[in-house]
Amino acid sequence: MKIELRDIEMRFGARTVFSNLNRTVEPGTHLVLTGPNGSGKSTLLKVMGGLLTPTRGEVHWEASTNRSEVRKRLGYVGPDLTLYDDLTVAENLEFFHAFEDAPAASATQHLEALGLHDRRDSRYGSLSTGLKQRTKLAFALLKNPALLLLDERSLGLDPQGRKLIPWLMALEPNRTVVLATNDPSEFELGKENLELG
Amino acid sequence: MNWAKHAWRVLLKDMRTELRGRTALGTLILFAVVSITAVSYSLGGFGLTTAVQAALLWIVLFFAAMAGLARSFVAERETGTDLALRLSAPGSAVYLGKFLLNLLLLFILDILVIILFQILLPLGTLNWTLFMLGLGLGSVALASSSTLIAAIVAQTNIRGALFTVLAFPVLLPALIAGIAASRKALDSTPLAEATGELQLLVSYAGIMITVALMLFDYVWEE
Repeated sequence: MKIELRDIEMRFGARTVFSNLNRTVEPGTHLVLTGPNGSGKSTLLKVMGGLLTPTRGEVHWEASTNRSEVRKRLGYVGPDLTLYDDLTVAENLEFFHAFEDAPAASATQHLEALGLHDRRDSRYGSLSTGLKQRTKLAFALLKNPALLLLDERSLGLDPQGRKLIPWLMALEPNRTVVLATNDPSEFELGKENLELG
Repeated sequence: MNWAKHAWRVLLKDMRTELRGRTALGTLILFAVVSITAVSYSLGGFGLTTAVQAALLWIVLFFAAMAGLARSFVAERETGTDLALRLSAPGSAVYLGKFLLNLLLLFILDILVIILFQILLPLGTLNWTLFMLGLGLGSVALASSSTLIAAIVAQTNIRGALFTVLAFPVLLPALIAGIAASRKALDSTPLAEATGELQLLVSYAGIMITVALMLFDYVWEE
């Protein structure tokens, strides 16, 4: 999915997080957002996914500004997203996948790769933080999204789990992936970088 | 008929989480038991008029609904599951699924309230058909508007207080019609003489469900 940021400004009260931001992200690009804490990486990630409206400027997704359309093709993992504690891993994925009109079996197709195959019947609320994040990654892949947004701050993965990020980014070559991170070892994952702050 | 399938999935998911957590049902039942028991003990041997009985019945239903029905959306917001749901499910399906869950909870509450009233504040001879119709249609009206209002207040920081404050004026026509229908039923009035109240409840619920389906995508996506 192609994303065009046109003269984007984001303010929270009197504080301007970023302004005059112009950038075109071509389809299939892997973009890594870097910058110190508070520089607006997570905010920009949500603006790019149509989850936040910028104070000024426009975001175009393949020449459209329709946010509800982009959400249908969006995979997102961020700190403000969680799944149902009272449902199992498989129940969560099957519930969200049911809206896609795709074969039910494909809901859990990534569980093995994400190291969750033996936890599919565990309640989401009983999982450790790292396993919850892996379940959220499986959720983000449910729609086979054209745009995948990953907020590293929320991932909380162990060293083994961190190896999943390159795997995720390489899973679908035409998918646009945007990763917000503070970890210098992940700066090289992107074909493009954007430093904020 | 995709919207119906999607609404059914939301309802099944909510029923499953409700059965495992019992947050809304527990609140509704506890409120009904405590309030009817307290009223029964404070009134003691005083005989209640049918007008007071009808008003008491709907006061209990209204406040129990206010205590429990907002949970369907507020819990999604507080736990952070609303974003996952927003990214996956169409707004109209979410509204219908939550509406059906709230309606189911209200029907359970209705049955419990009738049993408690019969034990603690006996209803005497009444027109059961009219009584059940009034209660059933009133519950549909209550669920239709409180589901929409719950979705709006879930976006704010003062959810609990705001829900009742916003819901009361919106629900007032349905409450007045519900109380009038219940009073006539307790007076053993024939069904034909209460068609005005029942028509008002049907119209109210119809308008609220239509308005909610038209507006819900805006409430849900912003």
